[in-house]
Amino acid sequence: MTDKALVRALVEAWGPSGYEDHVRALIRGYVEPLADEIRVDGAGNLICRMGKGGKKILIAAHMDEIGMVVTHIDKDGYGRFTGIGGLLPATLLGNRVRFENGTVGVIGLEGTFDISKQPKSLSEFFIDFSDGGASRIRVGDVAALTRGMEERGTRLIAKSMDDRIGCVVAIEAMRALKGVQTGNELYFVFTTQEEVGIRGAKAAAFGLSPDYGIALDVTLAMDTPKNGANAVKLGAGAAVKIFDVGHIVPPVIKDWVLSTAEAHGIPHQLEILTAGTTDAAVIQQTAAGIPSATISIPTRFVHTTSETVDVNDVDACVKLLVALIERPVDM
Amino acid sequence: MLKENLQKLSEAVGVSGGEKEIRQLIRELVGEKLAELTTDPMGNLSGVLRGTGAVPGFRVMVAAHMDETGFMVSNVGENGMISVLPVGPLDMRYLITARVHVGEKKQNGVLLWPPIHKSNGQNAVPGVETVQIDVGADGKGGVSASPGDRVGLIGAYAEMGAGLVRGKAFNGRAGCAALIGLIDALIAAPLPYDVHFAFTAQEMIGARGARVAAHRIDPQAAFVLRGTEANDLPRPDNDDSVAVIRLGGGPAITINDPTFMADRRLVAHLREVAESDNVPYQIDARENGVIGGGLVSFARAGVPVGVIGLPVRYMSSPNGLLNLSDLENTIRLLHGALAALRPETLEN
Repeated sequence: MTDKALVRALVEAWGPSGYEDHVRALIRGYVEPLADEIRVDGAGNLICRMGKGGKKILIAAHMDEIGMVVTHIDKDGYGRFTGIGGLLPATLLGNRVRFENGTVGVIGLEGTFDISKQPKSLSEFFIDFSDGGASRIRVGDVAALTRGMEERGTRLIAKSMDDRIGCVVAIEAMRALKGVQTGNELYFVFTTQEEVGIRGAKAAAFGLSPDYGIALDVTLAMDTPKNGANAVKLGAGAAVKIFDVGHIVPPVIKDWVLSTAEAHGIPHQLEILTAGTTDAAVIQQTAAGIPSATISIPTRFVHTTSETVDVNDVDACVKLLVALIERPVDM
Repeated sequence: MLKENLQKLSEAVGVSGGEKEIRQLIRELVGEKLAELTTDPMGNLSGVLRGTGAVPGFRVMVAAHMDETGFMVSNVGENGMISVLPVGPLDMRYLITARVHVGEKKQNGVLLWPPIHKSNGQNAVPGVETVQIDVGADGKGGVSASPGDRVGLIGAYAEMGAGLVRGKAFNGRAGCAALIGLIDALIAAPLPYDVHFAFTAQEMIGARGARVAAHRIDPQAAFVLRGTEANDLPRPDNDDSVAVIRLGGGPAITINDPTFMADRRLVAHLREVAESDNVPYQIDARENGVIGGGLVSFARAGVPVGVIGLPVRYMSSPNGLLNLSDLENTIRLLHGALAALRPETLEN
């Protein structure tokens, strides 16, 4: 069963794109006893090797979360900001942000309270530090949305499930594979700067030059009112990527993932995503081409402070990943 | 020397993909000071300044782009008017009746624009794709250019008050001038490691050169110089809601662009050096505009990148304004940052 304490520790950690140090140190603590070798590359990726020889497989989950950079502090001490990654204006008013030094601010909206106001641009918002808090903040400082995790039955609700839940899947798979002779050379890579342009995975793929790639990331669960038809559902199992806007999964990879899920009786569903992509998109296009899969964790309310996942899906993703890489991969 | 170099660099033509003239000028200005001066297949000019070797195996890249925005000839009409395509981001509001050099022979031309009293109502700023160039030819035979030739903007370089200079192409060339100034500073006081200088091509059309240069150099860290828009203009009602980058405020240490976060260790390093060396600086946190440094960070297995912006007013026009003190302080900041940089700065 999903280690909820692990999930909580990761989702509540602070780490906007480019500022993943704390998340990396936290993950390092969990994986240090599991990996044969650990290093950090030039892009800040945490690279953990398990096994030696056989096919090289890169398993990527990104550590970073969306956030904001302070661009300006006005004479009254209000901060202005620009987004890191896909910050949604509709989610911001009244939300709280936390800076690396612990300072918490509240996001406000310019103008008089107006229930019909539809903010369109981040430039309409400001951060209220209150009580002289701005003195602890400098232009260029980085913040993330802050909110604790809630548990509700099989559901977990938190910020930054995107993509700390992918990191959880990777860590759980490493735990399951500790001591197993898989016949593969596995590289579990916790990547940087996914939310601003899939930067870390690109560097990791070039540096490792693997035979195959597997990205672990969230996907949009669309089983909510007036959402898509035939869509990924929460609780219906691991989502096996078929297509997204940056990644068409090669048929041989798709067949490998689907046949493995079926052979092991792992709950799964097919995923076709028309908004967003994952680390696999750049891994696949690196060097002479690295055939790549994505295993997605269905998630509601992506890029909000209430990203919601189902632990049964998380378990299915772990089982599927382990089943894919626990014996020599040969396609 | 810095001022003379800046003027020469600003006046040289080098529209993206056609950097021959500016590259030749930089070769002359750099002379024998850099070893292994090479033009690579993308048109980047790079060379290395050897250090004392006290920190072996450490390689740092410093880069600025040579190219500028302009146009490319797409067709020469029977009437002698030249149709062109934009090269790089152009703001047409700045370019109505702009003076240009067409092709390597530098035929003089003007961006065609009907005068207001004979314009048949065409008073809106033209779309960049509709631009034509008038070289004063009475037919096709009077035009020396052919499709593919670059069209460079002409900027009348001038010294102004308060340490300001006016000119074109400061976006890249101010950085080139700073790097050339840095070479002399580093020769006077050599570093313990090698510094690779890259004057890059095709930045304005997507930082294509910088990425290739970074792959070839394979540095452990990189600093990228570029122009950044100075928006210190009068504001209605003293509006205090937006960040302002000022001329004379010092080099702008860059945090991000929408697709890239500058390396936080190098951001902190630049800040610390600026403060300890008393170099005025500003912080540039960007809401839009993709900067070339991001693609350097993509090279090979990832390169930590710091980006320093040189503030330029009216940057995408032929009449950019630059404060020479910002140029001097950029050299000081980069020099100080390199002198204090060690492999340990980048330890995690």
